[in-house]
Parts: sequence; C-alpha cells; structure tokens
Amino acid sequence: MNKDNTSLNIAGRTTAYFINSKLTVLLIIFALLAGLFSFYMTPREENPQIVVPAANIMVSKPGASPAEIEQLIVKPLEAILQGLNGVEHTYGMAMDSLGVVSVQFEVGEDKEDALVRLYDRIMSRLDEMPPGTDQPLIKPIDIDDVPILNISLSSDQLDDQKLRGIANDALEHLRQIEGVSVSFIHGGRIRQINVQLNLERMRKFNITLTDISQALEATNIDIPSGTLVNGSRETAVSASGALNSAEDVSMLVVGLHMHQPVYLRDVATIIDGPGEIEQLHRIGFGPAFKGERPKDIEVPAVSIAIAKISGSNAVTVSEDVLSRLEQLKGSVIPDDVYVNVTRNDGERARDAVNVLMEHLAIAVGTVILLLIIFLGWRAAGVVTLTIPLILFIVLAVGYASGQSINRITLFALILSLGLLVDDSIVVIENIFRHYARKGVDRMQSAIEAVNEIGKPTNLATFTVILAFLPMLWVTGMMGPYMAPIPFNVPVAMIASLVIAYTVAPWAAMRWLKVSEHESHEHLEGHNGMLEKGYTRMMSTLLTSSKVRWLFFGGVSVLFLAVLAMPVWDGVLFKMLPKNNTNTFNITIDMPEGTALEETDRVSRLVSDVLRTHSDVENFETTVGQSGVVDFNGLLRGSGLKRGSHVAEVRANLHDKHQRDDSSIDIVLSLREAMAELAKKTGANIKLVEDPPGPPVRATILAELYGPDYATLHKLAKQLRVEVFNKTADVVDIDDSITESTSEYRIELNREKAALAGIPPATVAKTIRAFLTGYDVGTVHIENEKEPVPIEFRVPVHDRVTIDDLEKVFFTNPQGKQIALTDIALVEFVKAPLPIQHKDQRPVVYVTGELSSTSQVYAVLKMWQYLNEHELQDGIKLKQYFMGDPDSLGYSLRWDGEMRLTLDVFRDLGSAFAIAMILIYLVLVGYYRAFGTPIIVMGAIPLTIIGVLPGHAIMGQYFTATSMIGVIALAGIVVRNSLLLIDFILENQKAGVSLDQAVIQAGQTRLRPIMLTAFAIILGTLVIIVDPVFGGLAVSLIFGTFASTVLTLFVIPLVYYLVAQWQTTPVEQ
Amino acid sequence: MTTNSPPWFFLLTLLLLIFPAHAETDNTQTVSVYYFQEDNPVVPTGSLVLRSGIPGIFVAQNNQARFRMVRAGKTRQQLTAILAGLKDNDKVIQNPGALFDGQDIEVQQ
Repeated sequence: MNKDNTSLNIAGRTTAYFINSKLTVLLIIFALLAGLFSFYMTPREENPQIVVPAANIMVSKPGASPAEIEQLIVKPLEAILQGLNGVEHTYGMAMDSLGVVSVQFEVGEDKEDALVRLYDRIMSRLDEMPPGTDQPLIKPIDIDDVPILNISLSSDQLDDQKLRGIANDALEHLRQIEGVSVSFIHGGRIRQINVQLNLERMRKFNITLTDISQALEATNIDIPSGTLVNGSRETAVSASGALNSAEDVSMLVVGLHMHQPVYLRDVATIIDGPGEIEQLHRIGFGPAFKGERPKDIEVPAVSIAIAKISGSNAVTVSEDVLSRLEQLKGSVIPDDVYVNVTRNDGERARDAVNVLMEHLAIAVGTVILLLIIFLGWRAAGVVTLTIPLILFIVLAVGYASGQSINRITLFALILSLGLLVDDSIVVIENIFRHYARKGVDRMQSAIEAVNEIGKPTNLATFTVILAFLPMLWVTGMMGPYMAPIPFNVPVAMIASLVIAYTVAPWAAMRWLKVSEHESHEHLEGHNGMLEKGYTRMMSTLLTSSKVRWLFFGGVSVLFLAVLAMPVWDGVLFKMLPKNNTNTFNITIDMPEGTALEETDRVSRLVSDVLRTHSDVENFETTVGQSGVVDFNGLLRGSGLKRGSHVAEVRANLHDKHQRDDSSIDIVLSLREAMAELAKKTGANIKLVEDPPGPPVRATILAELYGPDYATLHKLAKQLRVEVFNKTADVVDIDDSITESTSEYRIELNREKAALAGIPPATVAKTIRAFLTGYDVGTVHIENEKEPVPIEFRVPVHDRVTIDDLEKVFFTNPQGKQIALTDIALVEFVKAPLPIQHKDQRPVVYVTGELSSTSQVYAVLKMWQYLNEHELQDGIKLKQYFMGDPDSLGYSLRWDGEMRLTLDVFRDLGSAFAIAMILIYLVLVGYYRAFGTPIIVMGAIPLTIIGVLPGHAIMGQYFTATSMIGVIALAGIVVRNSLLLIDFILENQKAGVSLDQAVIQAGQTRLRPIMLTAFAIILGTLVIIVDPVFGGLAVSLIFGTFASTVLTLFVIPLVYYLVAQWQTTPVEQ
Repeated sequence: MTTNSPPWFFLLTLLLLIFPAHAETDNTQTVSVYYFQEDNPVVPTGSLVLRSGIPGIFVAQNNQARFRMVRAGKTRQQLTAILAGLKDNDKVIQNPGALFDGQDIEVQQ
C-alpha cells in the first residue's frame, strides 16, 4: 500500500485497501450469492403486511334492552379498554341482550403482546361485570387468518351437504402442506340428525320437549367407569349409551303412554341429512369463463379457504396446495365435482412481483444503454457490474431484516435505480479523467481519483438518505405500507457508496482503458455542442444584468403560476388512485327482517346484471352471511355480517393483462344498472373495489356525534338526503341506522306461570326450539369430520304465523297440559334499535363511495355546504377533521379516506420538513457556512415547476406516491447543486476568476448532471403507467427534468450574485 | 346434369348433416306457466323441485328458465303455499322436469 495513504480520506482509504485485494473478489461473490439466495428465499406477497391487532369482546346479558346494554356493558367496557396502552380506537355496539366492543390497537403493535394485555385487562376486572351477564367472549381479529386461496367445489348433481363432506376430505389433505395455517370450509350444510317434532302427536302422548331432551341427555353418554384387575391384567370398563345413528335416535324411549313406551319416532320424524338452509353459497359463470362448467348459470358450491402462516411465502404455499389439489381430483374429489380456484393471492403476488421484476429489468437495461451512450462501453461496463451487486445487497439486507419481496419493495428498487448508479458514475468518471493523463500509475491515480471526489460524494449520498429516512415515521396504516421505500432506498444508497469505493475502482483499474482520441479530448476538455451552448448562454446571463433579471423574473413568474395550479384545480389531490384488479365485491343489504329466500332472489338479480359484462369470469354468491373474508372486509368490518338479509357477490374478472377494460371501468359501467336494481328491490347494493392502499370503513365517512341518539338518527337521514345525495359522484350512500323492525314479544305472566308450575326457562327454551331449533348433543359417528348434532325443530310449514305458537304446550308436575297462550301474552312491538359508539361517544355513521373522482373535493364541497347551511331541523353541525368532536353539541367528524389522506399528507409533509432541516444541518457542517447551504437547497423548490404541470399533463392525481417523489427529488437535486457549488469553490481555490469558475463548473458538471437526470427519468419511465405508483414516476420525471434544466442556470447564477455582492465592498 | 352436382354441394350437405341448423334451438323447451299472485301465494305442487338439495321452483324470465329458491308452506289439493322467494306475477314453470338454470324456453300461451 502507498505510504501516502495516511493522508487519504475515508473514501480514498477504502479504495486503497480494496483496489488490489482478494477481498474485493470475495465481496463480489458474496454479494452475488447472498443476493441470489435472498431472491429465491424471500417470501413474496403483493403488498407489505400491515399488523393491526384487533379483537371483538362480546358480552351477553339476556333480556337487556340496547339502552341497558349501552349503560351497563358497553360504556364500562369501553372505559376499561380505552385506558389500555396502545389502543387506538374502540367501537361499541349495544344490541338487544348483547354488547360488542371492538378494540383496535395502533398499527405495528405486537399482536401477541397486545392480546395478552387485553385478556389481562378484561379478566382482572371480571368482578365489575353487572350481575346476570355471561362470561365475556374475546375473539381476536387476525389478519394472518385471511385466506390466500379459495377453492370452489361445485356440482349440479350433489347436494351441498355432500359437497361439504368432499371439501372436508380434501381439506384434510391440503392442511398437511407446509405453510398452511387456518383453513376452513365456507358454505354447505353440515350433516345432522333432524328431529322434526310433531306437536299434535306430542300433545297426544303428553310428551314435552323437556321430556325428550332429558331422555336424550341421559342416554347419550359414554363414560369410562373404571378398571377390573384379574390375573395381573387391568381391563377397562365403560358404561355406554351413546347414540350412533339416526336409527338409535328414533328408537329413543322418551316417555310412557298407557303403560307402553313412547319412542321418539312416535312423536317426531327423524331424518339424517342437512339441516334447514340458513345460508347459501354458490358459484356462477360469466361470459369470460373458459373452463369446464355445469349447464346451469349458478350451482351450489362449497369453498375451501386456506390461509398461510405469517411470514411464509404466499407463492409457494399456494403452488403446493394447488398441486396437491390436482392429485386429489378423481379420488377424493369425484369427477362430477367442478373445481375452480376463485382466489389465489399467491398467484397474484407472483404476477405482481414478476411484472415489476420485468419492469426493473427494463429499467436496468435502459440505464445501461444510457451509460454506454454517455460513457462508452468500457466505463459503462464497469458501472453495469455494480448495478446487480447493489440490488443483490439490498435484497440480502431485506431478507436478513425479515422483509418480503412485494410491490412496494420493487418500486423502491426501481426508484433507487436512478440514484444508485450515480456514485459509481462519479468515481469512474474521475478515474477516467486521471487515466487520460499519459503515463500515470493506474493504481495510485485511481486511489487519488476516488479520494478527490470522496467528500462531496459521501455528502451527496447522505443527503439522499436523509431525504428518505424521515418517511419511516409516517403514522397509521400508511406507515408500514410505505415503509419499504425509506428502508430500501437508503440501504441501496449505502450499498452503492460501498461498491463505488471498492468494486468500481477495482474493476476500473483492470478494464478501464483510455483510447488515444479520448485522452486527447480529455486534455482539451469535453467541449461538445452541449457544453458550447451552455457556456454561451451562461456567459450572456453573467454579463448582461438585463437578461439575467429577465431570466429570474421568468422563473419566478413560472414558479408562482405553478403554485397557483391547485387553486384553480389544475392539479387534483387524492390519497391513492384505485388499482386495476381482477376482482371486486358486491354487498347486498336488504331491509332488516327480509327472508333468506327474498335476499337470495335479489342476489340472483344482481348476478344477472353482473353477467352482462363480457369480462366476468365467475362469481361467488353467499346469502345469509358475508363471503370468505378478505383483508379489506376484515378491516371494514363487513366480513362478519350474518343474517337472512345480507348477501355478498364476489366477482372474478378475466385476467387484467388479457382485457382492455380496467376493473375501475368495469365497476363504473355496472353502477347504473345496479343502482336501478337497488331502487326496484329496496336493497342496498354496494360495489366495493379493493383499495390500493390501506382499507378504510368507507371512502367518505361522516361520523355524527351528539347528546341525543334519536336526534342523531334524524340528522343522519337529513345529511343523506340534503348533502350526500346532492353531491356529484358520491355513490353507495348508506348509514349505520338499522331499519326499525317489528317483532313479536312473548310476555310471560309470571304469576300464571308460577301457579301452573312452569318455570320461565322452560318456556324460553321451548319457544327457541320451536322457531330456531335446539341442539341436544351429538350422535357419535366415527370418521365423520364435523360433529353431527341432534337438532329438534318444528317443520317449516308448522311455524308460519304467530297463531302456530298456540300449538306449543307444557306439562305441569301434575301431568296437566298447559298451552303457551294460557301463561303468556303475545305482543307485536317495535324492536329496539342498536346503539353504536366510537371511542366512548355515541355515533351514527353516514357513508359514501366515489365512483370515479377524488373524495377530497366531494368532502370539501359538503364541508363548505354544512358550514354555510343548517340541516332541516335547524341544527348546525360543528365540523371536525382531525380533532376530537364536541360531545355537548351536535357535531360531525369526517373520517374515512379523508382522514387517512390528511394524516398521510401531514406525515409526509412533516417528513419533508424534517428532511430539509437535516439536509441543511449537514450542509452547514460541510461548508462551515450558513448561506451557501441555502443556495444549494435553492434547487428544491425548482422541482415543483416540473412536478405540478407534470401531473396536469399526464392527467394524474397528485397522490401520496407523488409526494414521496417530491421528497426523493429533494435529495436528488441537492446532490446536483451541491456538486456544482463544490466545483465552483474548487475552481476559485485554484485561482480562477468568479465568472470563469462558475462557467467552468457548469461545463464540467453538465454531462454528469444530465446523465443522472436521464438515468432517473429512464429508470422510472417504466412505472409511469402504474395506477398507484404512476404519481411517483410523474414527480420524478418531470421534477428532475425541470430542476435539472433550471439548476444548471439558477444555482450558479445565484451563487455568482451572492459572491459578487459579498466581495464588492471589499474591492471598494 | 342433376346427378352431377358440384363438389361444394356435397360438402354443404355433409356439413348440414354434421351441424344441423337447429342444433342451438334443440335445447329450447316449451313450458307452461302459472302466474304467481301475492294475494293468494300458492303454486301447483308439481312446479316445486329440489336442485342440489335446495328447494325451489323455476320461473320464466326473458325466455330462460331461472331457478328460485323458495320456502314452501302447507300443501292442499295440489297447491303449495309459498312463504318466501316469489314476487307478484312471477311466471312459475309448471312441471319443470329436468330443466336447468338458464335453459332456453318457450312459454306456451
């Protein structure tokens, strides 16, 4: 090693150490291997995992009204939970006899830790529960349980119970695959022993339901009784009375009549088969379906839903499951069962990742081509070598830190591509400059070359890192969603710096050659057309103050005009644009109290509309509950809906790469017909698209708060009619108010019941058995995969009207029959409505979606209207965006995507501001001056001149990703102006006059600056069509273009003027 | 000359034999319908079917037989009460036999 190496800076020293070391080769091999390993081993998924621990706590208090539940259960429970560390929101719901409080922890809270704290908090305060309440049930909502695969089994021959049996058999095989976590069967009825009670015969034999259930419970047991020891051996003894079949159940003796045994079959019909239909699941086929299908448009189906273990690779898990599924066809799954994979997040992740990998490859190719043009093939070859090395190091670091390869990591890589070649280019360029001088020592001059540019390169790289790092502190769900960007870009920058100081000089020393004419050209100075033109323009600007002020005036006017663009809606804002996907959901809510069959009828009409679109491949309808839950549904809370009035249709479209219309257009084209259908049927039909970013309860979510709940109901209705309905482009308007329904209430006359000797519990149990069925244990059938319950029920046709209840009777201890109507009064009353809470305040929600535009403008319009107008009742709502609403008066808080947008732009804005401060501080440290950094950073506002018109030209919304682009630009352009100023200072130090120093610096830096700019523009060009990350590309491309052109003139000129102004008094 | 018909004529005859022109309409079934009335919600018992375990009936809708799940009540004199699943003036297909959901039909007037 050279003896002068002690005087070298860190860059020079690193190069000196690595330039001729075997370690460099080792480093290359290690980076390649680690990269390849990580590339294959890193789990792949479509979007980064967002951890939001949440749970539902259910407490029942039979007989309590919603108002009572609110006071006794929901409010105290909310208060207990709100005090828990890390809780972001609590949502309460007080219903008849049941209170549910959902607790949502802050994003990123450790799941296990949060749930343990929750259990601890609830369990330690159980003694505070009011008497008569049941033990609270805590159900965690786990994102890891969202299925990644959905396999639909359907048949036009087999019934849904048989299909469910087949699905269970298949699931047993699929569950064994590594990486498979929670899996379940959706749809189909289970096998059960249906005991259809014949009330007339029961009356005749004087057998009550209590008699039957007692007989059954007493018989259906199998208890190990003990052991017998004889001849040194122990033999077990067990008493068995277990029922093993429908036959056993039917032969059960339930009483005596005229000294003869009464068998259950005498008073009931016993059927081994599916129970009554309470939910339906089927698959239908659209015009784009190509595979084998039944003749029917829609056939009953059963879905096998499979989730993966957190952290495992969605792609491999789904591939393994599907290949096992293929093996099961023909054996476990009979040939007359149609198998369709209707959700495959593994494939989706693979496609998304593959497309972006392709884009990354294209970007790398374009950048290499650019390097060859600018640097010649040898220099370009050296830089090209560093690109995969840096990318591989980033992948390896990502793998080591537990990241996955997802869309955002790949966007981060594409974004950093334009930046990571910079360091190597600067190094190679300078080495080239040194080599151009004849007769130099190749090794020593390479070290010197690196040493020369070491400091500014370090600084420039750190400014880029500083620009990105504050983004790590973006809060809410957007934080972890975007996190791969502030993680991967800095890693790429550090890797690029290391590689530029080690591998680049090592390769340059071996392969970089300077040809005769290049050497000549170098000594003469690069004076191409570009440089000549630049020099001419710059000289004019320097010499003529008139031209100079005209130029500054022009730039200022342009800057102000661009800033005014958002004011006249030249650029529109949005959180994130919708993504083009292969699926969307249709939720159907019928008025409360609608029969399952009617909901089913409407759901079939919905699918008729859906089938009219030629891109619909298939659709899965679930009636009576929501479909197989997805991430969006889980967080929106729509995945847990139950009841005969709800239905959901999941539409699966033809692959997006093979169709012309985007899913956004398809949904838009169906909206009108769906709205018409909704009007005709009285249903609330919503078309729900997968959100591009984190899911929200609704795009527009107005939360109404106030002291009186009934008034809130009225306000919500008025808000819908007067404001939401009248705002353009707002669709799928809904509110959280349950329609008031009527119900029969059986008021037991306690006195009469007591005199008759009938305990009220017997009455309640009997009526439940009469209407909903009553499970009494299970039959013991070996090899059955699901329990087979014994269910008592009155056949459908015997329970149609309230008059049928007259058939219900009880027998008192004296053996006398007492009719229900003798001891109870049946009333027709209005059912009490549930009460909802959010963060301890009673709330009513009004929701809406946007069909095609940004919610920002719709919300602002509504906000403005409500600021100026009172609602019909003369109540003026106090409006909030971020603050806590006033609980004394009536107020409205805009939540949903608006809140998310405001939070994200606030966080990104703060990140930007912090980045600015950090960059400034670092620059002050570097220049040891307070003024120069301001000149350097003057390039940042210039980016806006490109960014905003860029969005207008491309017809794109300014989105959160655009904002990330702006932040990235800050780092990039500071780098350019930093190197310019650095060169001017160097020139001045070398004794060159100020104006010549300025011109020469521009001349020398012109090509590298343009090369960097082109690398960024070409590198990101490939993602400009992406619906979500297009904004980032637009910001980078137009921002880089504008600021590069302007930086080359504005920054040296400002420096010139400031320097001149500073020196003038001295000369005087 | 009539015996000596051109080869394309032979080919055409062959094609017509293989792909008869009425092949597509072959599946069209002629059905008779019963108009469901909400004030007397009954249907002929023969129109009730069980398809893959789901009780229902077929209605005529845009010249197609469409399956509807229904909840049936009591049966009296070959008429079964329908408790849910049908709307006024729905055209209930009588004796649907082996109809499938979406089959082309022609309604007998």
